[in-house]
Amino acid sequence: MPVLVVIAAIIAIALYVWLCYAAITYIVLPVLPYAVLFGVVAGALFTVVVVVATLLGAGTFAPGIVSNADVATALPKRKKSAFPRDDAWPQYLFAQDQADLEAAARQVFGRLSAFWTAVVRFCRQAAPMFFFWPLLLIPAVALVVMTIAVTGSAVMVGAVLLVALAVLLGGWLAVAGTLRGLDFGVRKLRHAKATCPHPGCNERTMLPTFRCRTCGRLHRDLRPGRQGALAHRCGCGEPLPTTVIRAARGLVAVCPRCELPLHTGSAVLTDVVVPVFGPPSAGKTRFVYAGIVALARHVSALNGTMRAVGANNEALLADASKIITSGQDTAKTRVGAPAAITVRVASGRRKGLLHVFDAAGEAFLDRTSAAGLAYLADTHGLVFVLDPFSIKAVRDQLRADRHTLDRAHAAAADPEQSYQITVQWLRERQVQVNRQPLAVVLVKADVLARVPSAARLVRGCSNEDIERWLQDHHLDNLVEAVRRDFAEVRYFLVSSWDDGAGPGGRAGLVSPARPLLWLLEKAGLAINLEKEKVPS
Amino acid sequence: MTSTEPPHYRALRVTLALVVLAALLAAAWWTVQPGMLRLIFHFLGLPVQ
Repeated sequence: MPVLVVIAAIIAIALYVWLCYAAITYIVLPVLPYAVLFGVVAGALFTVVVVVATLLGAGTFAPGIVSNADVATALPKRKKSAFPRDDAWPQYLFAQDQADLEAAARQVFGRLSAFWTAVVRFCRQAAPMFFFWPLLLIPAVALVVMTIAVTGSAVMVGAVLLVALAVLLGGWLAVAGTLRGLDFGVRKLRHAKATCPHPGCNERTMLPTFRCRTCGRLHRDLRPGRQGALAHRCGCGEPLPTTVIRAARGLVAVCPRCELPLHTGSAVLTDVVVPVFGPPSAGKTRFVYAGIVALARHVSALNGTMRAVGANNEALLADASKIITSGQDTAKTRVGAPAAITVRVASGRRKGLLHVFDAAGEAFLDRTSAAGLAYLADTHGLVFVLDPFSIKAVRDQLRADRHTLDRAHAAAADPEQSYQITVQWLRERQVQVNRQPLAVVLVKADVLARVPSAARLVRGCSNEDIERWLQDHHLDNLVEAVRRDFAEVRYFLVSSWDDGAGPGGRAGLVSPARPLLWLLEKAGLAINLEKEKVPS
Repeated sequence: MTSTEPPHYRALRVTLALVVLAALLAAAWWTVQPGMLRLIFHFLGLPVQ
């Protein structure tokens, strides 16, 4: 009996082996190429479907969103600014694309892994099916090939997406770079900058901050960049135009330092800062008032326009006009941070903002006081007001004429000392004064006419005549110093008693508008000025 | 406060999806070229004309 069982077992095993051989030979091997082909096609389609579903955000495939809340970590820090990135959405190509590609890879390999886990679990639960192992070779080969195909196609789809992203990034860079370059170039050519009008700040910048028109968030950099080429999307969802030129049209510009509003047109129009310095009682405030009033008449006479910017400046200009036209005395400037008179000048196609800063003379008497005059560090030229009656040689000539001397209200401080302190302060702050023009304004021309040695000067006030006159009155050191320190120096004889208007309202020979017109021209905002007619 | 994602996110994702589908179509087109079909038929053991 046992012999029969053994024989039956041997026959059964032999039959099983023959059946396996037959299955492999006649079923598995002919079908295997089709299984391989199926694995390749299924793997490739699986990858494409999962990647496309992830990109389109279908159902559970939706990738995580890199929003405005993530810009601090998702985008590199700003290199040239102490401020963090604006609360605005990042551009897709700089953060979200990476998140999407990572999500797609996670979906592809995560789902493949889950599939294999399910296959293994099924095999454990249905162990008897391994009795037909030759037939299982077909799905096994198909699954292995499919896994290889998924990996291979994922690499290829990833490469295709990277190339597509590189092309998109190239196009984006071309658009953003062109816009950014144009914005910068146009404003640079215009000499446009924003000057904070608030005393104590007076920050000067080419890049003002803008407030979102909906939520009021501050956007410190609206140039085309990693947060958008054509528009930045504020955290509240409001699209904000990029480039300073476009942003300035519809948004409120504020100072990046003190966050108070800037004047309309700041950082877009030509911006000319003219600080007026000199010793106390030299006549700086009077010159500023008379200069602005005279400039308004001159510009108007040339069919241009000039108006004060903002309510404060309107009131200041009205006061100046009243004081100059009525012949009142100007009040002494209070010591402290100076406010600027800002006017908008338009002549022909040129438009610009002119800020004339008038600091108390005491600020220039020592270096500590001058330290508060931050605006001096970035100017388009300076005006040095020189009171001729503070010159000893002039006072000596008027010993017998006390009336004239009293009327002149001569400045007590030495003009040379005031000049040296200011220039030294500028140099210490790395201000390149040797690239700037300086207008030396000899004021009180109306009273100076009574000084015998100045009679000819008042009649024909040419640059050379004034320079020679100063040298003759022992200010040759000062003349030499200004010539050495500044890029260009021009001397003006000015009467600040009135607006000094000539025929038709244009600036006359001793008009206080002349130094301002010269500096405006040097800053790229030329307003036509008739050639000086110097009597021979 | 965070708003909904910017419209350009959707536009660029659709563009990338179209690129992937275009790549798939290109692969399919390359596969059905006579030379490649002959190789596949040979691999499958089918008669090649």
